[in-house]
Amino acid sequence: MTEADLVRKTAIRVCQAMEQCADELTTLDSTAGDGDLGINLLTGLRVLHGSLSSGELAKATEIPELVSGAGRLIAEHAASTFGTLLSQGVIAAGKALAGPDVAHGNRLNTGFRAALDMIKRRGKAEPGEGTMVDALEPAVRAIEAATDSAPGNDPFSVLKAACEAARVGAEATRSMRSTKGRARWSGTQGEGSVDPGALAVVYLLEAMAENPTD
Amino acid sequence: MGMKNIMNNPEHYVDETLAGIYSAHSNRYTAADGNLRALVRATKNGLPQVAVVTGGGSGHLPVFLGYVGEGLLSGCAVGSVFASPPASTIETVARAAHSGKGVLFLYGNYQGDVMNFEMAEEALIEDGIACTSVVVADDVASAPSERSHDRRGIAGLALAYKVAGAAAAAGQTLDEVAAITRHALNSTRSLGVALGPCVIPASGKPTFEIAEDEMEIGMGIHGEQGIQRTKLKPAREITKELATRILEDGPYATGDQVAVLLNSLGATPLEELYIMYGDLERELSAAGVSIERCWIGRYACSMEMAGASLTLMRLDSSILGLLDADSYSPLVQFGQ
Repeated sequence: MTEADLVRKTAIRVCQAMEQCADELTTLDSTAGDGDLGINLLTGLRVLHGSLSSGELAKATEIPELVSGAGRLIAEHAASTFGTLLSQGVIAAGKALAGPDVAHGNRLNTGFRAALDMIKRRGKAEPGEGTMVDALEPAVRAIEAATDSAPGNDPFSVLKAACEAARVGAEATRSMRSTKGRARWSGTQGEGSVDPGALAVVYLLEAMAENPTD
Repeated sequence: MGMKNIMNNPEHYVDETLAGIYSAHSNRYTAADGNLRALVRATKNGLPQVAVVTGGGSGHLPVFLGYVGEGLLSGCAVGSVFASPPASTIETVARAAHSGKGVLFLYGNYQGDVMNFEMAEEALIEDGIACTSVVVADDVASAPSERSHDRRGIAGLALAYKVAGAAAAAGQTLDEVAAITRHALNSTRSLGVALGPCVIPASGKPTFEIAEDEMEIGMGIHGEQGIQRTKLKPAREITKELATRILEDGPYATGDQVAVLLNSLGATPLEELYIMYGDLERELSAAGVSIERCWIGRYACSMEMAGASLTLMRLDSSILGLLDADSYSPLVQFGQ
């Protein structure tokens, strides 16, 4: 199996796993936001799944091309707030991975760092505001710490460390007052519950962290 | 009590709505680049004019696409229910609508929309097309006045569309159209009351829960939490509450003239809006504010959500002239 195949299989696994989480995210989002997060994300990921298994992206042989293409499909078919941020992050990761100086053992942190930076820029969000950034930023730090200590680490164990960090970060959004997105208007109603965007990041990472060849 | 809706397949809700609109009004609307979600006027005016482009999630008709028409908007990017259209669709609409005098993006303040419109604007500017954005944030319930830029855009969109569309049709430049629209919005405030939810077709779930005998002041059009939930009150008390909060928040003073938009959120009938209007006129006249123009009906809805919203726009001669200008859309009336 080529590395591109491994990335493709992982992406398919993510699409499948999110089918199970969409209802929970939608319910959570109708308390804190507007109740469309799960549905729109799922719509986009179903299109992505189709493309990865039998469409354009089934043929992609290079990782950057595969990642950017996935981001563009999400942008097109899941243009909700979360979907837009996710798609811009994924597209940025694809671009960064296409860069000339990306060392082999550095791809995971290069991609994730680019994604995080773009999501923060597009969403004008910083940690502490009760958003997906509160899960993603600690996850990216965990990825950087793991790859710095041992470049070329098994990517799936690095991602497992990222999941734990993301989970802790998402839990912390329970006590934050949202200042971004639709949740910012319902700061009291959403209080005490996890930000749905942060939880979605956790679920996405958990699905990515499972080696699809196991 | 369960909700009943007329549809074929919840997943085709938006596209089947659009298909109906295109076939009913084929002389008015066309799909740019064959993309059904990129709706533009079928015919451009003879002279180049500023293209006023909007967009947003579906489920709010006549917002957003119903305001595309003569003397109104040039095009609209249509998203899925309650979700922003992608930047690529906004770009397609703007390129098709552009006639050489620039593009004004005019849309409601929701983060998904803001991001996608910003991305589309960046792409057009890179290609040398002049663009400006005006973001509508008129809902006083959604943030205090010191954070008014955080407010949601609701029915005030309708009046903003009318002002911008008329200014564009009158041949004003991009900067002028943007300036008069901002000026009109500075003195525009809205507030709504919700009595019952709508159901999101794809999930089959209501946007919020509320007891049979309750109402909520300030609830958003996607079911975002409002500012006060109480037992259902008589029309005159509801109207007084909406009017009082708007008058306190906005730049209104004795002697002012205003335009009123009294809007059904979907299920509330005209009868109830007119009951409210009678009460409203008494309230405003007691405050020394006179209603110069009023529009009453479904202008910004949330499918079958029950409730109403009130919008006031303070008038001066420049705004009044634009509100009175001729306009036509098959989905919405601005007659006097």
